[in-house]
Amino acid sequence: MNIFEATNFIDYAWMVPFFPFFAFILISLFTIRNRSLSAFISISAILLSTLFASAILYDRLLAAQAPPVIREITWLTAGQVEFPIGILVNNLSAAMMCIVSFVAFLIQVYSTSYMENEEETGFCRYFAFMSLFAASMLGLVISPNFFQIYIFWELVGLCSYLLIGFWYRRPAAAQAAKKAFIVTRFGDIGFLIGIIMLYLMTKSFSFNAIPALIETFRANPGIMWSIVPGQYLSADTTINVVMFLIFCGAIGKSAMFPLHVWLPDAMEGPTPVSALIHAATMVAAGVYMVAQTYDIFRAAPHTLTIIAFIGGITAFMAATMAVVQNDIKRVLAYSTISHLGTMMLALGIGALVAGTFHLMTHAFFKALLFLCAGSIIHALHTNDIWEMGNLRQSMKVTNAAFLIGALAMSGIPPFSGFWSKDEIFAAIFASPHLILKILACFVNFLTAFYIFRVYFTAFLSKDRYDITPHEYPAMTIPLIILAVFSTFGGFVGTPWNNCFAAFISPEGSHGAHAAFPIFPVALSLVISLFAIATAYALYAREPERFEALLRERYKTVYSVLLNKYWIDDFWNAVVSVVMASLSRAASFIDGAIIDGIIVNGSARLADEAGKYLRYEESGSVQHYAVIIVISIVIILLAVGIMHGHFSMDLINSGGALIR
Amino acid sequence: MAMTGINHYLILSLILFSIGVFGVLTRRSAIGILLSLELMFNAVNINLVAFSHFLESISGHIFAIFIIAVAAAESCVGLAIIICIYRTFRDIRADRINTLKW
Repeated sequence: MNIFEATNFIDYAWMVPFFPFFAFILISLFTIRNRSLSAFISISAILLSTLFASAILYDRLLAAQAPPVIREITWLTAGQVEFPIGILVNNLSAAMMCIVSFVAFLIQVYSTSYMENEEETGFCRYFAFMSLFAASMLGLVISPNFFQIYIFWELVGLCSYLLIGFWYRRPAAAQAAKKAFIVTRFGDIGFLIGIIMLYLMTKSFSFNAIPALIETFRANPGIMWSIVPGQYLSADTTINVVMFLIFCGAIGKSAMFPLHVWLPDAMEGPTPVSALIHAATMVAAGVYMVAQTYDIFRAAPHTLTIIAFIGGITAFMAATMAVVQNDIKRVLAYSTISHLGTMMLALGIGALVAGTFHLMTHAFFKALLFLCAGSIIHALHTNDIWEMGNLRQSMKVTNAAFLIGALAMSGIPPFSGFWSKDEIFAAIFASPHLILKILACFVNFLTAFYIFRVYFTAFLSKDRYDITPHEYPAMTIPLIILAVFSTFGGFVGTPWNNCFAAFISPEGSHGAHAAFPIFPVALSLVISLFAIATAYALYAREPERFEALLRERYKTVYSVLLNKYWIDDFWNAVVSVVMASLSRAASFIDGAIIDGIIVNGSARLADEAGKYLRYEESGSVQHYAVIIVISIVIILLAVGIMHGHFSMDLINSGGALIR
Repeated sequence: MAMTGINHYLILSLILFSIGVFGVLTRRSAIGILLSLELMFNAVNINLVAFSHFLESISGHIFAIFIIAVAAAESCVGLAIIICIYRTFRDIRADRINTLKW
């Protein structure tokens, strides 16, 4: 029997996250001291996942109209609540699975070279965590319900903590890891509350069942909440509030304003980790969650509007901050935030296909850019773009790859970013919000500007170092593969033949795609070209002079941007005032009352009482006997008095008993 | 002369028991304490036999016989302990053997 004919790969989708998870266990338990074996296990596991995911994607491509495959079992039951786990394979998750495993595979191959200077256990630990990270993300992608997605959601958060703080001996890395974990927890609390409320409303966790159940709830609310006593929220409001709470999770994970502060700091981790976090895992989780549960979000139009505006604001703020950064990784970090904002904006205005399409193209070109940055950092041992320069000569592959990534990001045809970005642009121009249109134009300009500022400074101009940079084959090959995908990946979603849209939302693509409007596309292209030209004029030959000039002339703007709009300071203040006073109160209760009175108090009581009562222990047997006799007499008297028969009653009743 | 009723036996038993308790609490010699204990046992036996007779049940007799047997064994153990105590302390006065204290 031929296994490939007889079985349906989709039923084995659970194995896709299982392989890297198994690799994680193997490495951490058995091969933690063996470099090459650890890397081999990790890479072959993720390669297997990639092959499985490709097979599944192929199955889905053959039958794109087929209904999603859902396999769920009840994992545990608590009272009347049943917690299901299982797999969900629809077109979106199949595509996402493929991209996540493929990008993770390339990044792991790249890491073998990038991490070569780590000592043994560090190297193996790195691959163990990378495997766990990939496993968590793949588990998240195939989650069919909110309960399971929440588990993997937190696992992804944990892995990001472990990997951002990989060099935990560096205080900055340890700080950044904690920050990433705690800030995303802020959003996750909302996510958890939202999931619980949604469960109470619909009695279901399942993505598939909730859209219908939520309409039942709207018609006939079985449960109501009130903020002011006596006044209940209407069903409509409840749905919007709950969906916003669920979106809070995405705010934290996908680094939306105002919880974006962790992402730039996360650059303290090794560069391939940044690439993985930024391209395919972690930050993509939020956007993916919204896209996968989009049918539920559709029931909450006000929340979608809020999502659009949060996305727009995030995209704009992050893009402005990216312009003034000197650290190449930080520029890319802010650019990730900006792109995630754009994706959310697209989802918010109803352009599901455009948003997910951008998620996919972004995964490739952002991974590409990060790995290029890693290649440079590995060669020059610096993150500062002002210590690079003229790398075009010495790092030819990296130069070409970075240029492709930058062009894709700026939305220059035919690179992949052009198709997805302009789909979003078209959708924004079809939407009624003027502010979003203006923001989108600014973001478009800034995106092309900041990435080419980096490109021109680092790859053109003159060299500012005294070593000869080298490239390594394990690093350049992934770069070439990613560059190919960044170049041609967009052709799956061209306006005249939008296979991607047909694949992701087969039931009918968005109205905006039917007639592809030429005006927004032309506008965005002109803006991007203008931005690149501006960057060329400023940074191609004498970047230092113009940078200094700009900083001098726009002092106020620069100080706002360098201070990151004081959002970090705002959170610091919140934490130091609110959290610190709460902590002090908690510390007082713990220290003075629980520890002081209850725990130590009871010990002191026993101690003090013992000091005096011990003299009772005279050691003389007869002394004890006296006490025993007196006690017995007292007990007998007490019992007798209480029962009130000091007479023959006792004997009589005893006799009756014996008889 | 009045018939001897159960109360007479109970009073006899009470007196014997009290003498026994007094002996246990006041005798200095460990042997004396052991003897007083025997008095207490026998007070109990009298009680049991008296109840057995007046309530026309055999259980009390059986208890009494058991107690006599157990008391004999107990005396053996008690005497053996006293010998051990003597070997350790060279003394069997109960008020002198008071090292197990604070």
